[in-house]
Amino acid sequence: MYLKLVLLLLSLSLYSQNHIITGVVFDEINNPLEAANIIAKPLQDNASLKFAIADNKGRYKLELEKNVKYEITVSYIGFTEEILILDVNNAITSYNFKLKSTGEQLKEIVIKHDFQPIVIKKDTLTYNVKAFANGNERKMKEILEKLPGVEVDKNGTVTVQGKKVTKMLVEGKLFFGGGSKLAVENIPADALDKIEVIDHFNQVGFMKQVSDSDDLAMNIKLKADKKKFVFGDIEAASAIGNGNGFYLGHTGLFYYSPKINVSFIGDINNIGKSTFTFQDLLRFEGGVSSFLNERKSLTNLYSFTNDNNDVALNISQFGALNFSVDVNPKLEISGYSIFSKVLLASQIENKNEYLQNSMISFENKFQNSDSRSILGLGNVKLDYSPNKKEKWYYNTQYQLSSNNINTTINSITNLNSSVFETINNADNSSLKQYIEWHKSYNNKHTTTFVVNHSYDKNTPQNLWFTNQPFLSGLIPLQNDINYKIEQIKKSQNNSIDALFKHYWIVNNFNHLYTILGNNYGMSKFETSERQLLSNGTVNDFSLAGFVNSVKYQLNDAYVGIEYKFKIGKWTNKPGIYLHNYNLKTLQNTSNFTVSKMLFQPQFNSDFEFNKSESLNFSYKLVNTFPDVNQLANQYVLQSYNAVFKGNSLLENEIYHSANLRYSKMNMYHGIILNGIISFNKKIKTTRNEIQLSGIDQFSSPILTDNPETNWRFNGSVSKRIYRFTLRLNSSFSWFNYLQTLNNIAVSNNRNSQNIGIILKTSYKKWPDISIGYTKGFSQFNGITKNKYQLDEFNSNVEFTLLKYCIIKLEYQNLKNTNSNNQNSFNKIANTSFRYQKKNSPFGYEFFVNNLLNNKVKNNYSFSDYIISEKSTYILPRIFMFSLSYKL
Amino acid sequence: MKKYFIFIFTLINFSVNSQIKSGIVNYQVVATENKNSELEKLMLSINPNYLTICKEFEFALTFNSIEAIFKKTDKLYSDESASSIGILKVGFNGNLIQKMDTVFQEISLDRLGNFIQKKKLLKKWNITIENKDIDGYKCYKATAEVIVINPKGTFKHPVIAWFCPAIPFSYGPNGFGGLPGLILELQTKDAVYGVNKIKLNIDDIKIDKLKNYKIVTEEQLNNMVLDLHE
Repeated sequence: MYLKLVLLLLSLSLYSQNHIITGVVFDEINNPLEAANIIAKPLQDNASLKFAIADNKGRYKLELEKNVKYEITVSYIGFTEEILILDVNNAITSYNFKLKSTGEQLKEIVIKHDFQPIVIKKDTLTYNVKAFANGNERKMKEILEKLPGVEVDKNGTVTVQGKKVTKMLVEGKLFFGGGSKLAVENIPADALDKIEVIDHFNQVGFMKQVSDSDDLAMNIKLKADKKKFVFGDIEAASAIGNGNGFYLGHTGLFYYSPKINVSFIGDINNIGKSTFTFQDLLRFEGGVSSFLNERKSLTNLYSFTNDNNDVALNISQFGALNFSVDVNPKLEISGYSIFSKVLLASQIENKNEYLQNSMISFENKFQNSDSRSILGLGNVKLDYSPNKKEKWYYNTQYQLSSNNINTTINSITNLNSSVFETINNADNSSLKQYIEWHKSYNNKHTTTFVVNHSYDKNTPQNLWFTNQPFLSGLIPLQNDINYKIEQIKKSQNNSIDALFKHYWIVNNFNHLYTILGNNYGMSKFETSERQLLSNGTVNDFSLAGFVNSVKYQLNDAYVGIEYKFKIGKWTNKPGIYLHNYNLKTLQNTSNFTVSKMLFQPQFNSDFEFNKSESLNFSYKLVNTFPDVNQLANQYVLQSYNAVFKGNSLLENEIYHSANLRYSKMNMYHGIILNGIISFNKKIKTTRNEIQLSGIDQFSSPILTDNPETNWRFNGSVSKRIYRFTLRLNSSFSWFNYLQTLNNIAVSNNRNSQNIGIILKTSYKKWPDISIGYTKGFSQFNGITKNKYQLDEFNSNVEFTLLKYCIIKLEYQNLKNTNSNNQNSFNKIANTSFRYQKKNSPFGYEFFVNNLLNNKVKNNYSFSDYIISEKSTYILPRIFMFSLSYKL
Repeated sequence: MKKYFIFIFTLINFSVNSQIKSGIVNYQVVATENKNSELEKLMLSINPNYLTICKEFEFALTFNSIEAIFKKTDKLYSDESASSIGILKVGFNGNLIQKMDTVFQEISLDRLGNFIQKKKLLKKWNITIENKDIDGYKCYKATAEVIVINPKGTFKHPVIAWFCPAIPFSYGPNGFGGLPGLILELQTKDAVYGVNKIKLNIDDIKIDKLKNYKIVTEEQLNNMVLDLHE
């Protein structure tokens, strides 16, 4: 009863507040206009817009608020709109709209409107740091842990209400390109003012194709007086036990201010440890333009990221500084400089077996070398975007290096024994720069222009000392008590490459790209050798043809056209390039010129079965022209047992290159499948002809029509089984070529097959364990036949003990077997134990390198005329204790 | 008698003429650049063209009075790898059908396979009195929040739609609709979709079907993704 009364009252009250209008929307001849929209716009504030949609008979019911003035509009495309102004006191309950046809025929309407994207404010959650901190916190991490809903794990990963923070911003800017770890563990707690969490989340799954994480940002606002600070860590380690004097010192220091970021990495160690991590490398090199991919990279910083233990001594000193400055929103300048000094001592033993020789059957070679190399380099990059349709990049780099190597070689053959000492000094300098310009004119036309310039100068000097005459018959030695040979080389290279590319989007399925380019290279190359006799006189080798002075120019002007078209799931891109090559060399007062107009076709074809399965084919014809040192037609001393002579008549090598690739991914079944077959066939081949006499060799390149064929196959399958991932890898290669040795041409086959299997845990809550085994075979068939086998076993374990301890163990076992079933083993094990208590600035680590205390690493290699067994002395077992401190 | 026939015929003809039964609307898209986003920096480092490539995308919304399909037009791009990142940026995850209050979408996940995701049409629009002219068509502004619930939590993203009451179909780009008029412009946090061509028909047309994949709800799909990351 009560309920009924309430309902009645409710409906009454509702009725009293609403003003309902019903009616019909017709056209001129009383046909109902189905789906017509009736919009009632209030003509006063604090009332909302009301609307109704006509049903299939044109009927509508509009519920309006009482005491509101409305403008009621009915519009329907092809009709003139009808407007009814409804005054506050107008109480009509029914109104029919009759729309007049405009008489225009329905046709395609083109909308010309400049749709401008606007940045929509994201959900922001702000924490006021003062409210949560007690003032005893050292680093940002300790503050974050006090904020409700925020968690920081041991890897420095921050989660907010279960969501992972994927970008860490300070004052709205990226913080050292790194993830959250660098920020949370280093930003001083007392610098924080406010912490904002910005949800810039992309729906799960889809973004994972480009990023392993979803996007949630944390922005740190700093106190006005704390906007500049330095942070970082310092690590020092020393050998324990029988003090061999091993040490390690490492520091990473960062300076932050809103406009300028500077980072410094310094390292000294003598345990062969890399001085630079891969993350450091990324921070230094930054984004790369897609047009640079085909060009040689400016520097190879990767070499700094590799450990080098395969030496008797490795003392390295390294310093690197990088900065980035935002000059204004359109211009960003970044740069880096690196200084490195490395002292290396290596000790290598070779047992060489010469196959094509009647006199000398073996050579035992002991090689000791000391090297000292110093490198300094500076790089500056400008990134300028004047407007939305244009982009400029400029990069310049200067590099200086000096390398000194002293080598002592003791060669013992069945006939002879000799000692060589070599001193190499080389000073190199290089300058490299490029500029890139991209501009888009409209939806159909875009252009790119790139110019690349590089200059380098190398001046190596070599000195050989020996107690025995050597290379007899090949070099014009005069008898002496001791022999001393001096060699001076000079090479200067200058190149300017320019490329202009125009993209024309003809229509949805046809694109045409036009490419115009010119590569110009100029080199000067000089070599000379002489014997310094003990009586003070000089025996100049130039009379015997040991002097080169070459001027070399290679210009390649080209024009190309690529046509890209799509038929269903099939995309094709045939292309043809016309190159005009001009090679000019000037040596011994004679000129040699090659001018060639060459067509180089290429073809790419892609078939995409679906997003996760595709087949790709590519083919191209390539011409490569010889380098200056291959053309220098006088003798050059290469090593204690090798002399080289170039060939001024060399022209271009020609080869076909093709590959076919297949890939399939099905993560639901946990399967990833990849396969690639590559084929290379040279139809014009440049290969060195070799004259072998004793251990001495003389080689000279020659261009022939002898084909060289190379097939390669690589394939892998990986499958997830329960909480493990099983992966199978395989690689096969076949290489056939013709080698002329002592005037006899022999067809050689060099083949190899490798099959590997790896089993890994793939479950977060388990320790990381991986076990792998690879079996490899390689064969060489020429005049002689040789076979090798390789067995490789690898395992890695990493787990966390008692929350703060991380234990790592790695083990590798390599076995080489030669054709006589002789084996050599290499077993390598390393382990480390790290302890770092949460929130403590101190970290402790105990690690052992070369746990099994191996002295040497062994491996076999073979070529057309030599079988070689090499033993390399490595750093001994080292027990180290390290202490690190966070600034 | 014959006269009557002609009269009736012209009458029917006329009435057919006045009513729009179907149409094809083309949309383009402009991506919102967010210079501070680390993800965008990452994407730029993968491919610097990924933002500019977005202008090459074309979409077509084909509808009748019962349903609508929103499809990305198959075409070549000047940079294919940029286009595969660009399409993620503009938030288009697969072709969609809007039928009554339900949206079906083709979803292809590298890690899981292909599905049709079934979702409720977003209906909680706040229609404002703010209006603007898009090339002669009066449009009203409506705002709403897209709510994404997934293993990582609940996320709300604002969207802004500009709909045109004179075009009497409650459809729009990328699965948005349910407004008294066609959406001519749609702003999301990552992009703006805008109409560039409208073709209306007085005849009914047949709407293409989506691929015949397994139908799953958003929740089921999220659970599968979660399982995968276990």
